[in-house]
Amino acid sequence: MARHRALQMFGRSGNPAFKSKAFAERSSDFSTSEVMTLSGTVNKTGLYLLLCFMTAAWTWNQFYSSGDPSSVMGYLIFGTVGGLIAALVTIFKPTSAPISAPIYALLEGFAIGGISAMFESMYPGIVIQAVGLTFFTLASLLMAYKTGIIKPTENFRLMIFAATSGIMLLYLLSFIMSFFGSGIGFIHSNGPMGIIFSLVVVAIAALNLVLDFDFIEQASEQGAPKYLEAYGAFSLLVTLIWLYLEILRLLSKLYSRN
Amino acid sequence: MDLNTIFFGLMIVGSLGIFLYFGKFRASSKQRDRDDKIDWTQSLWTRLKSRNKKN
Repeated sequence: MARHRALQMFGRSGNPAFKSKAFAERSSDFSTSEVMTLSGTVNKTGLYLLLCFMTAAWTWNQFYSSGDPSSVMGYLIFGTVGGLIAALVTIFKPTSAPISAPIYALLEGFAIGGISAMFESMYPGIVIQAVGLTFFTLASLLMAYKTGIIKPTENFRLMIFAATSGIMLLYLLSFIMSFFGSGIGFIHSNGPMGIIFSLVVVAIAALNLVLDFDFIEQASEQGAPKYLEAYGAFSLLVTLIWLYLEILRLLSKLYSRN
Repeated sequence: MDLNTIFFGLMIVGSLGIFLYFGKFRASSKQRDRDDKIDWTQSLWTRLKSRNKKN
């Protein structure tokens, strides 16, 4: 019951895929072995990244061994739909995160591997650049957060949440409009407006990482329950995947101009 | 292996190393001892409602 009480009051991050949940009770309600730690969260994030990489590499190899984009479409759809279900389970039942978060990582790998292979076949060398820039952003913002250069406040949280919601709404609208043969042009265009839009989205996705760091830092400092380690790692992974896809899109727009 | 792969490959290894190493350390006191920290125990919705009431 203590675990459930711990989730009674939740905060929200600006995370695109879910509402980050915080902690309401202190470590006194949990035994020492059940308390969340920073190193535990970082280790779990590393593990989930490895799982994601493994399945991504599998799909990537399938694409390049057959040379046919349709050969990975099944993996792509399976990964996207399965990943969405695993993410929703994690969001609505955070206590299941130690199981559902690694499943999410594995499934997302299938989707990302397929998408990455398709982009790589169109623009050789783009994937390693996108991965490099994603991890560089992660490391830079982590250092900026740890040293106190970036100080997330309630207003910062509100701003990122509003911006993220706006972007998601725009994507949803564009998706719905595509069924009627229309769309929001500048989202996908490689013109100046399209590139500025992608830059803004990349910046918002990157700033979501700061919210994730703050959530993890405060949760571990206040002795949140152990399962929030998996939840925090999941939160970081969702943001990282979003950031990676947005960087990939931005780079592809730039490549397509040449 | 071309220069692109070497440069961005090193960037990946270095950045992951930084994350896995420094991520385990607590943030500086400048970050932790602030009055305007985010209160994660309060949802954004509750926060907005209380702010609107004040105004």
